[in-house]
Amino acid sequence: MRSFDSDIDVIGHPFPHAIIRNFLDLDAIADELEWLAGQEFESGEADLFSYSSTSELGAAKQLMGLHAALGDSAWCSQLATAFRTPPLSHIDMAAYVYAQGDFLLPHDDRVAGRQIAYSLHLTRGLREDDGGALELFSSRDSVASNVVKRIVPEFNSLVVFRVSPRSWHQVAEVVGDAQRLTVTGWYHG
Amino acid sequence: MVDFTITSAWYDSAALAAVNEQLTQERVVQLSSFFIEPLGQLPPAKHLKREERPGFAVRTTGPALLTELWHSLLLADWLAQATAAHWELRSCRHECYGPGDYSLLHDSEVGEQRLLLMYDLTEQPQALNGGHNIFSFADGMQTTCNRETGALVLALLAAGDLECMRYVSKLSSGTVRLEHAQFRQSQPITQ
Repeated sequence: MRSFDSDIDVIGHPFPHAIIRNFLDLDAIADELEWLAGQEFESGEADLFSYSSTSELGAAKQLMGLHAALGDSAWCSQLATAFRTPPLSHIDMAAYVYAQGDFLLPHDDRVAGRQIAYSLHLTRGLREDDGGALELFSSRDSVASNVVKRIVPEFNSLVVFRVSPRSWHQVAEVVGDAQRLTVTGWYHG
Repeated sequence: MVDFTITSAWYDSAALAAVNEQLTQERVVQLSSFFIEPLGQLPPAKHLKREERPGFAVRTTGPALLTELWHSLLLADWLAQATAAHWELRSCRHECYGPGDYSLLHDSEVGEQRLLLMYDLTEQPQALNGGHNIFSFADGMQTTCNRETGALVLALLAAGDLECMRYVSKLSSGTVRLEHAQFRQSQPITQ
């Protein structure tokens, strides 16, 4: 189910991350993505975020291929080596839709057990002026400073980063009509 | 000269009792048209400073425009009637939240019980674009206050209670402006 078959190029600044393009074998996984798009997304809002999401999908039989592509042992091993983490044991997985006005404000993702965060982008044709970019912050003493990198979601690209006190990031508000769909979660160790 | 005359309806004994009851039970109350004059003649805010603290607050703040009010006996007397307690001003400031600005849920620097007052100076509030107050209490209760020009919000907060300004959408064409004042209880009223 994975199309990507190379070494992971980890970028160190502002914190270790990688952008893996053409991650999925789309022909092999088309039915699963269609099933995913038909799932119920529940809108949620708090001080930190506004978006719609599914429940945890890691156990969904209809997404076995996607789950394997993101979380099989070979891939986990490759990620752990690239990011120098302890062995990765399992992933969690949910889908998120950001529609116009949705956002996720700065946070570092740190929760016990999380080693690597991932976001698989599944919207075609998202443009920079639509918003929805994943924005990475520089930090000083574990406090976020400035946005130093904007990653415009590219269809079928997987963004992964090491969860640490430095991993401050946000999702810029979606201001266009496009809907930003991702499958997102964490690798646990 | 700014007229700080409180609307007579808010001196009505039944209204004062209702404010007290709502503040005691729900801990947040929003009073429309608190002053007779909508304070349209306020001077422009000066000495504003941009605060860029991603993950905490992104906003513009400056010295309070209503310092005279926050220190006034008029307000102190009214607060005493509405809350059955005497309050002492701890701090006050002017806050502006433009498109993309926010503050996340946060505690007070001091965990003691406090009375938070916010007077809304927002011109043409845009409810769909955020910029409202969220209060999250230690017992799990949550309350939202939408923007309303000329309204005074009173919030009775204790240790562990949090408040924030919900993110203002970049699609907003306006700026949320408010006066923010914190009081600490100096003494309860003995009867």
